[in-house]
Amino acid sequence: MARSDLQGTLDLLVLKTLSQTGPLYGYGIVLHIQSASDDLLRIEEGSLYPALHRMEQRGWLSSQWSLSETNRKVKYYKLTAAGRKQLETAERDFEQLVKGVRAIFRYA
Amino acid sequence: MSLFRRISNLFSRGKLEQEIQDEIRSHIDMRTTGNIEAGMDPEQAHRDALLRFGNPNLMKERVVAQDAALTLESLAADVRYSFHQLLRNRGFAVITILTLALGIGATTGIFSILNAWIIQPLPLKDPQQLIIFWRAAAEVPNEPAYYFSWRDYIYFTQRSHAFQSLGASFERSYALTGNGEPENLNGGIMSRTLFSTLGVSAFRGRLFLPDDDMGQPVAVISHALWTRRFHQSLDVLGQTLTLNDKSFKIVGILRPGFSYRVLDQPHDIDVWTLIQAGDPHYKQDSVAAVAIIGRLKPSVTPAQAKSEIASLQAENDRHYPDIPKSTAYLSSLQQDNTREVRASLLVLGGAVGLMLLIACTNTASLIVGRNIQREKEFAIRAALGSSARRLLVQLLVENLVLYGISGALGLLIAFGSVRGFIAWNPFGALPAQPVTVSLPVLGVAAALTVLSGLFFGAYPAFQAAKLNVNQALRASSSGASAASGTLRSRSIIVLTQIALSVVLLIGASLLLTTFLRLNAQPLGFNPADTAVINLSLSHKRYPSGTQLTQFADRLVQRLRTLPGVDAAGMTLFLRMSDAGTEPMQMDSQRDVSEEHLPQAVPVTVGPGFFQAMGIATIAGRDFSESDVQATRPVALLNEEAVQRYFAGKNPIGEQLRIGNPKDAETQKNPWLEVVGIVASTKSTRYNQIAWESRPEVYTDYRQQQFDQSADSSDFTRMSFVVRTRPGVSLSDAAIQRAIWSEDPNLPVGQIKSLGEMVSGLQTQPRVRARLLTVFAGLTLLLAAIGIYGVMAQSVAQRYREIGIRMALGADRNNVLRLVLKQGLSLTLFGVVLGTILGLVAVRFMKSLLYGISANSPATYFGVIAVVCFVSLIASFLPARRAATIDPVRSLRTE
Repeated sequence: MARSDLQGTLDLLVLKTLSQTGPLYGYGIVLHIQSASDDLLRIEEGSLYPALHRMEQRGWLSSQWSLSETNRKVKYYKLTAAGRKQLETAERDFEQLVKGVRAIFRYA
Repeated sequence: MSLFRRISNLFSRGKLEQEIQDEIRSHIDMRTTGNIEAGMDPEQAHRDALLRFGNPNLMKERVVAQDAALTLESLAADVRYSFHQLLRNRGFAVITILTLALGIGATTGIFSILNAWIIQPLPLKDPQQLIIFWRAAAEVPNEPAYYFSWRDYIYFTQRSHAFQSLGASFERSYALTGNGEPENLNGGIMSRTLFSTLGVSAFRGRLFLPDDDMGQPVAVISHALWTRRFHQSLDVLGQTLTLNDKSFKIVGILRPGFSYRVLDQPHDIDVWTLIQAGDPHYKQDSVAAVAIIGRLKPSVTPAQAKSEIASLQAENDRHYPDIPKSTAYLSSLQQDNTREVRASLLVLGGAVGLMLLIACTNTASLIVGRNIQREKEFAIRAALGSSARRLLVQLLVENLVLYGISGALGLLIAFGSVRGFIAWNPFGALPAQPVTVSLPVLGVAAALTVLSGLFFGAYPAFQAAKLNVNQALRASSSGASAASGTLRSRSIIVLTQIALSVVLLIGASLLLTTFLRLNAQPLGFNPADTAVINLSLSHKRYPSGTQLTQFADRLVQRLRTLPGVDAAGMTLFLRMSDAGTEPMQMDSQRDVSEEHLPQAVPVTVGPGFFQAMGIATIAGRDFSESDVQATRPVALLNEEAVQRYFAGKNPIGEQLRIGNPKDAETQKNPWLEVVGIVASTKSTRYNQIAWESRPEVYTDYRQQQFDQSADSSDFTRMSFVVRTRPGVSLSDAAIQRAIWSEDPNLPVGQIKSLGEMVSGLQTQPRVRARLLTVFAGLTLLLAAIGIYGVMAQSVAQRYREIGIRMALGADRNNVLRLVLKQGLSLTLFGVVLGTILGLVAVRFMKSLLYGISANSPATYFGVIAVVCFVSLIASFLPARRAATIDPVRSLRTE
């Protein structure tokens, strides 16, 4: 069974974002998810940080303090090789979940 | 980088928190800026940013919780926090730590002593194979009563197949003379096979060789004697030792720590010598007493060995119809060494075990109580985002810190109590191996500490983890009790404590009564103002009976002239325990068959003995100076003999003879005329505490011939009893001078009083009573603390309820009664439970009691009264506080 709860979804969104944009800080990740989903997905912004730290703990992300475009001191998160692998797994799991849910919707 | 940061985070939680704080703040700032750019006014922009973010503090907690590597750091913080908490609740901390430390310390101490004595194997090779043989009296088959004889030893060595080898030995006091001050040594005389049976080797020199029992006598000395007397000089090997005026060549020194003791022997042997081949006292049919030890063959069980020896004994006894009826009694050497102390040690072990239980439950009760007080703190912290796991870990750490300190302090107490025990030496004997706080005991105590810490710590923490935040917050403000469940479990704990202290108090009270009854028992003699001198007179220097008689006459005369002396007398036999009986023929009852002959303890004394002992003459006359060899031999009987064998008739004038008429030896004994009756004296039996009177027949030493050849030893022992006027104390030096003026070469051993001898016999009951009383007292104190704690907590919880009651018209007395009732009902349940447990427990102590029944109602009622009284006081204090509650204030609170 694919692990596909909400937390897993947040992880997937973060990993995907970082793979598309390169290194990014928390607020940037929020903005990216918001705009890339045409404002459909709004996450509770605070809950992003426990997820980021957890993923860093697991070695999927690495982080570094640096200055943002607006010269603010922010912490940049970057995908690691392990994070890339995890992204592939998570994407596969998510596809399965979507397929499964669709199948139920189509059932008549 | 990140790993390095995490490691550095370990050392500074503050730094990590700062980073998270920065990260969160920059996020909120950026969102605010974004909002302002989108057209919001600054205040609205900031509020929106916060709203989108959620609770920043909660998020921070959650982020911190993600950092697994922080666990260690937070543990250190928890430990720091725990110390803080303990310091804040100093009273709680002190009581808890002392209670636990006392429990752990006393348990570890007592069990270390128990361990050295009865658990740890003896310091001999394969000690479980060593079996010691005694004869038990037919009536008491499970206590040794007699030694086996040399002839039995010979018989067993020739026929037994259960043992690899057998050895025989007996103890003998050796007077060491010639080299420095004369000294009495503990000598051991042994068969050549003893050391090989025990499996011991020499430290220096050699042990005995096969032909050492012929020719020049040789001796092996203990490491302790070598150290004490010869300062570890190797020159002693080959030197000559003069023991009881005989020369022995020292051939070897035993290894340090070697110990071979029989029958609760309190000391080790200083010097060992051999039974010489061809010694006339050790011929094939010798009845000389020996302790026989055997090393079992590996395939043979002790039970098989026992049945073999029992049948061999029965076989051999058939050749000798005159010996008393007895059965073989075999036991392990260790059991043999601890026969007297075993019961006391087990009683003590049980008592401290119960005390540890009470200490642990008391602490649990205190911790539960404290956690209830902190319930609101936990609820608030849970509301602020602390996870249940976090609270649990913190509570566990707090408890482990508490238990850790108590455990460490407990170990100190354990070391102290072991040292104190050795210094006190209450049994008058220490085990063969040194008593140390043993590693396994230490391990068990440590495990016990940690486990009880985890268990009692985890339970409240578990409760806290289940805690419903809303309910707890609401409960504490409304005054209703969310903790009634924990109060109930605390009540059960206290109830158990009361029950356990009742059990211990019953035991202590019974043992104390036993000791007091033993002490109050009139003994038939007066132990006050006496001195007893034991002398051993060598037959080399006193070769004839006349010389021995004259020495005794002269010394008694001289002792009487000492200042302050009222009376002095001599006896050949001054023992207050384990006197053997002899059959007695009576002229008026010649037709009695030999197995029905009256039995009495023969005691040889001289004139002045009864006055010196303080034994009353009931009828007839005492021995007098006119009873001499030439006059008609006379005897005195004690009242016990008169009552048992003369059924109230006056025995004065009766003729009697000591010994079995069938026995050839008896023919040598003269017929004695009974001239007087003296009061019965009390004595005990080996390993029994009860005093009893036994029939005794007294004879006068001056009318007897000392028969040195029949005595298997080389000397005659005499005891001199001196009575001084009350208040006059006679110095040992004065007595010594008197003796040395008669014979300057006579070693004078320890001079004791009769009182000391009597109290020596009561060592076990006295120690048991004292220690158990101490433990029972401590237990009662702990239980009182428990009751007080529960009642105080209950009053605190019912603060508002009591306020309402008082507002509604209850007066102080009603409130007082309300609280006292609660405390007393708890006590009553505990007392009932304790009494039932006590009735069961005392069944195991019946053999330790004297003069009181194990179910004595007075004891039980007394204990119940004391416990009720103590718990009344313990609940009175909180009750009085409840009665002084100001209803207005209590209703306004919170």
